[in-house]
Amino acid sequence: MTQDTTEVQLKRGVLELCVLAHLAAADNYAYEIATFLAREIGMGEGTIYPLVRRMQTEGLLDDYLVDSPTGPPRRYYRLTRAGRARLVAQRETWDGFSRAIDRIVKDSR
Amino acid sequence: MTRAHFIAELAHRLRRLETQRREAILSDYQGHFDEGAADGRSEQEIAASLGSPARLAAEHSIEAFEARGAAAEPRSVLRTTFALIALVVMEGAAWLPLVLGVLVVLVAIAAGTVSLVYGVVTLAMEPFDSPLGGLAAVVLRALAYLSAGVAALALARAGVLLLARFFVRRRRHQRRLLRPSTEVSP
Repeated sequence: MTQDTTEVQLKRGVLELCVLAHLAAADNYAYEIATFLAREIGMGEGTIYPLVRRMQTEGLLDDYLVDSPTGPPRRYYRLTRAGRARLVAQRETWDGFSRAIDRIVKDSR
Repeated sequence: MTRAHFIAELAHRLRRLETQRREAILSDYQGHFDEGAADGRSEQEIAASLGSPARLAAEHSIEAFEARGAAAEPRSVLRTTFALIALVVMEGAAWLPLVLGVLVVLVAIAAGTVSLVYGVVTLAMEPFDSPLGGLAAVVLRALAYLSAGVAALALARAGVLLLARFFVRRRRHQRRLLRPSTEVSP
C-alpha cells in the first residue's frame, strides 16, 4: 500500500468524526466545513458533499436555510440527536485509540 | 479546469441518477464555486481543491445506491458496480475480489447467452426427423438450453447485486474505522 493510499484510508475513517466534532461547536454550511477540513487535514473540498448527504440519510444531520449577504441562501447543517450520540461514542473510541497508538509510536523512537 | 468544465463533467457522469437528485448535487457544487469566488479564489483554484469530478461522481453514485437500500433497481446496481470499479482503480484499493467477481459475472452472462441462442437454434433449425429423435426430443432439448440460459443470466444478475452490496458494505466499514457498538441505527 502506498503512502498515499494509507492516508486516504486513514482519513476516510475519521472524516465523519471530524464533521460531527466541527458541527458540535457551531452549525455551519458546506463551503466553510470543506475549507476548514481541507486546511486542517488536507481533505479534498468536494468530498464534503457526498459525506453530508450520507450523514443526512443516516439521520445524523439536518439542515436549514439562512440568507447570505453575498448570494443565494446558505444551507446550514446541524447535528441531530442521533448525530450527537454518534459523536459522543466516536469521540470515546477515538480518545482511547489515539492514546494507545501514540504510546506505541513514541516507544519506537 | 474551469467551472463550466467541472460542472459539465460532473453532470455527464451523474446523467443516470434521478433528475432531482442530480440537480441537487450539481447545485451544491455551483454554490461552492459561488462561495469560492466571493472568497477571491479563481475558478481553476476552486476546481482543483474540489478534487476529481470522476471520483466525486463515483462517491455520489454509491451514496445514491445506499440511500435507496433494498429498493435498488438493476440499473442502479450496474451503475454502482461501475462506480465501485472506478473507485477501486482511482484509490488502488483491493481490486482482486472485485476483478474476480466481475469475471465470474461476465462468464455467467456469456454462458447464459450462448445457451439461449443454442436453444433457439435447436428449435428453429433441427429437422424433427433427425437421427437425434423426434419432435418431443428436439423441443425438450431446446427447452433445456433455454432454461439453462435463463438460469445463468439470473445468476449473473444476482451476482452483480451481491457484488455491489458487498463492496458498498466494505466501504462503509472502512469509513467507520471508529464505528462504535453503541451506534443509533439509521
